[in-house]
Amino acid sequence: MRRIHSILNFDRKLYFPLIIIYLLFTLSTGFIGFSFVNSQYTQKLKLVSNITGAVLSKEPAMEDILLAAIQDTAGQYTADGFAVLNKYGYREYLSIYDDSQYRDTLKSFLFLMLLFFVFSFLIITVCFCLLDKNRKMQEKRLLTLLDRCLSEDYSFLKQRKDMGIIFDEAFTDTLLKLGNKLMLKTQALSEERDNTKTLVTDISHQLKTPVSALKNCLTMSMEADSPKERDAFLERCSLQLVKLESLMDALINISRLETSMITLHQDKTSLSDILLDAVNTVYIKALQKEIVIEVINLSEEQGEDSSTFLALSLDRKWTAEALSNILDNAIKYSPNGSTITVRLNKLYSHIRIEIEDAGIGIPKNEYNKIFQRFYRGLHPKVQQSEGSGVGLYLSRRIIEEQGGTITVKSASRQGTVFVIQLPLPFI
Amino acid sequence: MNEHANIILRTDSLCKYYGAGDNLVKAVDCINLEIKQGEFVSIVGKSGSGKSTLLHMLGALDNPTSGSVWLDGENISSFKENRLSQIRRRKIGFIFQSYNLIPSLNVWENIVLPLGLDDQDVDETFIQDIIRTLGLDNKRKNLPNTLSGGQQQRCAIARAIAAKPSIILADEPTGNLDTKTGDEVMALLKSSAKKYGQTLVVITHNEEIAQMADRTIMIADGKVVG
Amino acid sequence: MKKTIFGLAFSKLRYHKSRTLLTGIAIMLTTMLLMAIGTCGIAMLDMNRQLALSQSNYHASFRLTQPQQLSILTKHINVESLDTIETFAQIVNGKMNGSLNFYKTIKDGIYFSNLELTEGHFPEKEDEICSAPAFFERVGANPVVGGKVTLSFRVNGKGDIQTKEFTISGLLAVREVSAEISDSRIAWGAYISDALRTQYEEAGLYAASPAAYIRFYGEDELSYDEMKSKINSTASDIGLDEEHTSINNPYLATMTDPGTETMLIVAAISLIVILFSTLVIYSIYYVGVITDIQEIGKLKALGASRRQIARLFFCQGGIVCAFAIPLGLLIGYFLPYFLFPIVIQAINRTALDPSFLAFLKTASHQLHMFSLPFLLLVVIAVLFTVWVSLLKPIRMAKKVSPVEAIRYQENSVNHKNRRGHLAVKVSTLTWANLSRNKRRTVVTILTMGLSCVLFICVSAVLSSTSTEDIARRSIEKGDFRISLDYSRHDTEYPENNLDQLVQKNYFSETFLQQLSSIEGVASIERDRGNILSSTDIPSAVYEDYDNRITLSYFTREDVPQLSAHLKAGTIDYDRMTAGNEILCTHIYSFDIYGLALGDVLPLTLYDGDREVPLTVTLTALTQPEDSYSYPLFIMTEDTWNSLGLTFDPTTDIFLHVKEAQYDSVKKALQDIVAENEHFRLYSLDEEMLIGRSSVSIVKYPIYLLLLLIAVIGFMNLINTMITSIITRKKELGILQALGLSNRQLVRMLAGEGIVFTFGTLLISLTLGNLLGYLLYLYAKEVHFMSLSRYHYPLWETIGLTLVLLAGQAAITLFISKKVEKESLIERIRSQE
Repeated sequence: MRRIHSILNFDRKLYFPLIIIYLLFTLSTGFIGFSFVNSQYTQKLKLVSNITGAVLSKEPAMEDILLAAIQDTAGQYTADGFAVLNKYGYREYLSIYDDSQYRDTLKSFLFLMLLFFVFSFLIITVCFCLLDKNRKMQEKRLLTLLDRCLSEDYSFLKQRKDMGIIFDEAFTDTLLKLGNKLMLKTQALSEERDNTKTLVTDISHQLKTPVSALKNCLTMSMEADSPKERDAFLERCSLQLVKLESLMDALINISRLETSMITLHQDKTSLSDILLDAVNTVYIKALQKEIVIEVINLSEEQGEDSSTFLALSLDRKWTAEALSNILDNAIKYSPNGSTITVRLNKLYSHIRIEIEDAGIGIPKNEYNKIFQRFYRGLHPKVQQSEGSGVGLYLSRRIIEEQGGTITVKSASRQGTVFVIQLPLPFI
Repeated sequence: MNEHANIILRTDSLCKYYGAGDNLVKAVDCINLEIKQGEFVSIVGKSGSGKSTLLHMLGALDNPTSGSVWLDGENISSFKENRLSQIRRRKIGFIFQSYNLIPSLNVWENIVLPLGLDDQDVDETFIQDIIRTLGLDNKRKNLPNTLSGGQQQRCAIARAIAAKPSIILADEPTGNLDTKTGDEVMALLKSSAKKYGQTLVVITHNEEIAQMADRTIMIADGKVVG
Repeated sequence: MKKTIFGLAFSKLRYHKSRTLLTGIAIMLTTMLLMAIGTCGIAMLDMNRQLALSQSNYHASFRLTQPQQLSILTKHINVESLDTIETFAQIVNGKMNGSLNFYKTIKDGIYFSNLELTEGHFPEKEDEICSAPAFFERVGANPVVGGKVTLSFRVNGKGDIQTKEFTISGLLAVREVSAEISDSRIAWGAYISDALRTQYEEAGLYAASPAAYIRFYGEDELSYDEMKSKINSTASDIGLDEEHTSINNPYLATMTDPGTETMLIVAAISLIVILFSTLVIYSIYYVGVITDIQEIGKLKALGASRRQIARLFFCQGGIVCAFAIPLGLLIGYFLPYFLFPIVIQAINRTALDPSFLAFLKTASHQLHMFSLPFLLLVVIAVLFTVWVSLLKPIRMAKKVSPVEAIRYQENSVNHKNRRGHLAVKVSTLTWANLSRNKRRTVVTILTMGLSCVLFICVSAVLSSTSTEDIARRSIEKGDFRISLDYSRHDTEYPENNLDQLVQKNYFSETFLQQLSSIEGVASIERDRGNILSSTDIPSAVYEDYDNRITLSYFTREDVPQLSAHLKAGTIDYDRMTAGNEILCTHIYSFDIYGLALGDVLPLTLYDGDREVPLTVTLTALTQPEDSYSYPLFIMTEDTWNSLGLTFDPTTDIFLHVKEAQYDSVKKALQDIVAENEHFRLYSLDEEMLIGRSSVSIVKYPIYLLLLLIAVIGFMNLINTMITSIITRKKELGILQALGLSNRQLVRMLAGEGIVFTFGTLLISLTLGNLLGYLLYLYAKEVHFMSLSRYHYPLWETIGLTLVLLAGQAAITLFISKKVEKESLIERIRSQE
């Protein structure tokens, strides 16, 4: 549509020049034709005068006959004349080409026509090139305008005068309308965006105050001296004792592992048994915090055969220990009532187990350190909670010893994902 | 002396500079490393930190501006090109980010290529074992472009292991793979290297991958930072 | 946008330097070849024209019978220029054949090379004379202007002998006179003044019968036949019959010939060249598109339209053309400009045509070789070639979808698997790469192969044109041939005709005795005789040969050989003897003269002064291998014997000599032959020399042409190899990272090259030899260079093999040097 419009637009501008060129061509063709006819007439006149002169200089008496013959349109003597001329090779059927004199005239005429053709061809080509260029320039201007629309620069709306020069009236109007509408839409959008921003800031401000108040209350109650409070303190102490015991266990395990006192017996076992063992270990803790442990078998979901799940070559006890350490960690740092997701995925050569919690998460710079012995995270919650920094180290040792890997990464929203890969037996 | 006995790769104030004057770029600036036999070391750094340049020099692909690389007790930076080719095919296995399999050769041929280049006989049972370990058993005759990225990289791992090199150098081996496949490939690389007793040096910018290594070397601006 | 595309095209050209260079060279060579071939053609035509012009430029001469004919001619509409020459008197001076002539220009425009003055002026006073210096020397005068010469002559060739002293007023251009031509056969001419002529005419002693030399209008526009009919109609206008008109055939035929034949040859060769370069340029661009496919995909992803992609390629082609074509035109023009005269000079030394020789000697003519229309045609042809070569690659590029392109792997193999080998060697790598790029490999081998096939083919034909075969056409047997130099039907000098000569019995037994007495002559053999014949019925053959052709015979022993090459009819010796039947020995003449089996010819045979009537029937057509030793028609020996010839019809004798005395015999024979103006001596060594040079004149230009075609093909090979390196840059880097040493790399590349070479050789040796033999058979059929025996082009084949191997080695060396230069890391990092 745009194209057609613009072409029409420019044709009108070029209408008069084209008419003039056309007239010029017609006139010059006519002129060339006329001048040739004219030159032929002059030549004929010359020829006749020459003949008259030649004959009359010898035979003055012939004047009457000669002039009668010149003016005789019926051609009374033509046949006789030809009979004489025949001898000199003049034939009635001779073409213009056989006479050297006329041939030259014809040649120059043809040459002139050729020149004329080339010239007019060039002019028309130039005209069309100009037209084309003009059209392209127009298109470019339009495109620039549209580009400015896209980049939300609507300054052109105020330059109606300039546009009127480039485009015609109706076109300019439509363009301006389009521009205006677009501008209004953009403005409306950006206003909406700003509103959302303020809303979020407001809500966070509203939340902050009650949380800090809650925290203060807790600290205050712990420093009270009443027996009731002491009971509570004792309870805490016993809790600490239990923690210490579990730490001891972990330490013993590590020392045995390090001194090769435990050997891993890679027997046929199934992943479900291992998982069951691991979950059983942490079940109570999870129950206390009302944490749900959800197991998703991705491979089954994808409809793949999961029979190999059941036949792994691993040490059941220790692998379960490794997994339970990780689950334990997850429960420890997850809020009450959250969900821990265990995703199983059978890959080509490994089983991938992802354990995702919604806990505090681990900063990237600690990824490498958490599997180190006795390393404790820097997060206040980690520092506060009981733990020896041994569990993950142990898990890693057990898993890697059996040809698996364990890595950690951040969960998509909050919390941590532990990725464990356990080798599948060869097919 | 004894503590050096199991050091397979060592660099001695290794430097690589590009350009001159104001444009001088210190890609690798005086790095001293020691890598033990059988170790799995990851070299971590952002892109442009000089880690690739370091790996290239470790693998005798590039000449250092100064300093030396000692592989198996030999200073390879002083060797001529021909000897270097020999070193590369006998002692070093390469794994690249873009797999770099030879597209005109099938999987098996790609794997035994380093042996062929060294005029060695193919130890079929050994290669067969590698192929099975890496799960390429039914792809032996495939051409590389018919394989998935993970399969191609497994093939590249097999190729790196095939000539039983002392050290495997991997440059972003999981860079072109999705996380799951990448993790699996790394697990395979690690277990294969362990199984065949090879030292493994992996370059990566991915800290998750680096976690699998026994030791991580951090590089920034051509220097070791941790 | 256009500018962007242009810029992109330009930067791509710069980036793929070697490809651009190769395309450029290929286009340049194509242009050069086309231009050179055409320029040679134009030069050839121009040379023919100049040659025709070198004698005279009149179209026809009329022997006028009545005075008023001249006045009509002067005013005739067809007549462009008109000169008259009339014989005023016969010079009387011993055996000298000379005349006093009068030359007059009526309508200016006719040129005679022997009427060009070198000194002085044409005679004006009645005692003035001009002629060539040789004339004056012949009559014993000093050839200087102003010198005196006394001549005896008979006006109109009759009446009393007059003696007059003339003053030399001018000297005409030197006329080449061959020493071999006998005195009586040279027509000497001198020119006298109008005054002298008028003086005798008024005294009633001289009646002029001038010959008019005329140029007619329309030389440039009309065909030969049209000109001829124009001449005849003019002649009939003035009441002359054809007997009195004679057309200057060599000139008119040349001038009215638009050079169709030459043009056809030029066009045919050009077509071959264009075909090859299309193939080569196509395959360079094809490979280019394949390697660039990712880049094209990226462009498309950025929004380039199909048209823009096409324009990008055309732009690249255009830019290369803009540089290559002018260069090619320049070289293509100046190469023949300087070489053509040299080649002509070389031919000059062996040329047999004396007028040609004269032309080359006298005229250091600048040949006109330039033709703007032709130049434009070449430009268009080359642009067309490039355009056609680009079509398919562009179509491929257009089809590329952005996604496909970005993940495009060069080997879009259909098959998934490869059987492969248990162990990999360097050679495995070579083969694997070649089979991956099967199409490219095949195209490369084919282009190279085809140009080599062409070479082998042509060399099969050329090597079959053995020097000895050519020499044996002049000397059938033995080492020397003494031949009777006779005319068939010379009415002016009947003493030179064969029927007159046989009466002299030059090859008498005594003469043969004399020859055999020369020390070293082993034996002498008479050739079968020849006899002149004429026919009473109109016959195209006879007309073309002065109404006399020679006849000869064949013996019963010749029958098997003649029958072996029988083309039509049957040869039965006895039947033919009984029925006075003859057979035709030249298929070509048979066809062009429109002969047919069963033609009956009433003949008159000229046995010296005796005429023998004989009616013969044409019953067979054959062309034996030694057809050149027979005249057109032969009868049986028995028929021949039954004629009862009284004179010895021998026209040729052959001499066998002992090798040791060859030179001395030759000298003795030369002396003997020099004594008799009708004898002509052919010696084997000279004929061999002529044969050799006439073969090489054809051979070397053709070989040069083929070589250049091969070079264009080679461009393709270089491109394929370089592209195969560039696209595999990374792969090669990886291989080296895996431990491929430089030596192994070179071995791998050389392996690829060797496959190309051997593929090419295989094609050229099988297909080439097969086609070569077929071409030979064809060439023999159409009598190209009168081939008779097939020679295997052994040396050419060996040469080709060596050149291919050497070229291959050079490319491999060059490429591997280039590869080694680049650092390994760069290669591994490079993203294709």
